Amino acid sequence: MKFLCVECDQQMAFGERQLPGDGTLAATFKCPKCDRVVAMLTNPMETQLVSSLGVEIGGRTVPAEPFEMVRANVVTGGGGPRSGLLGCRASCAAW
Amino acid sequence: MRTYHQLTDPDRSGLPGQIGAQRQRVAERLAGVRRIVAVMSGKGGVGKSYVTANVARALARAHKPVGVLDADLNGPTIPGLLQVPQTAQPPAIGLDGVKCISMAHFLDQGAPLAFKGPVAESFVWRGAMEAAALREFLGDVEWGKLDLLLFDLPPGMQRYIELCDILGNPPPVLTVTIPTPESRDAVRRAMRAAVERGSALLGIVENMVGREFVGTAADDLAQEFGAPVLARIPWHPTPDTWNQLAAQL
Repeated sequence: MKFLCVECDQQMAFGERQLPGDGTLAATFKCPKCDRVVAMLTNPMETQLVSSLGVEIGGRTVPAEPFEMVRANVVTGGGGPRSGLLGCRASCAAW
Repeated sequence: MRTYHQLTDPDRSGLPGQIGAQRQRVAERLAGVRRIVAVMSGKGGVGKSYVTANVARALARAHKPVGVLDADLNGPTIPGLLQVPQTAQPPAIGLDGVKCISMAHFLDQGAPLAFKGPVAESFVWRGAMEAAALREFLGDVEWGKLDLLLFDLPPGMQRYIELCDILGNPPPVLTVTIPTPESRDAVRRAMRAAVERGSALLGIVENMVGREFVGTAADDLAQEFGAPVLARIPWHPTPDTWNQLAAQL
């Protein structure tokens, strides 16, 4: 997905990303010529799709952790013998 | 107004680069794997996981390092068949030293696979999540040196297609059927899809032979696709049954 400032005919540059915590995502893009800023707002379904690709809008600042998507998004079931994903996280670090 | 491909300024998100890094990670993880085989049927209840686990054990007994990737994310059974301890971390070590990774490692006992996210119309994103989980299974497990990595595919063809996309090459397939015409017809569709994707057909295993299930599914499919019938597995196979099948892979 790219953003074009139609008036300036310029590709807009990524500015910042916000995750408000309600499943939505906000990313700002700025026209390098006229400085106009627009925000792309995704609904929870769209955010989930981006998440499933294992990519970071705005670029990765740290490498992906092992099983990052699975650990972040799978509901373990809670309370059972395999609920200890913290333990998994610790041992995953060595994989 | 210019269109998408006419905008060529560098993308700070670097999404193509991030996707490329994922592919590279998978390639690096599988660099020590000599062969990959997908076990498929297109139909449920024919014993794919049972065949997969026992072939893997037979190879391991023959001192060949083997891994199993349980690609049935919604109905993982490989850890149970390999008697992997509940608390094992992937790659877990099962019976006869077979390594495995399964969604069961991330779920509580008996818990269904569920993802955090918007509940309404989850079909929009759930398939993508499952494909991403498969990619992480491929990219994040340190298998080490393996002679063979078996993929235990679920019923249907979706996971096979995802696997082809993630690997970049269609894997050779071992097909499992039971003798009935109903199974033959379902498995035929799966084999056609595999051929159309470019997978090599290693052969056909006819499972649950000799009792209630009557038919000539394996022979019919072998004739149609020019693939050998590698084994006919009785209801109570012996270790030698599996050894003979494994020796042909």
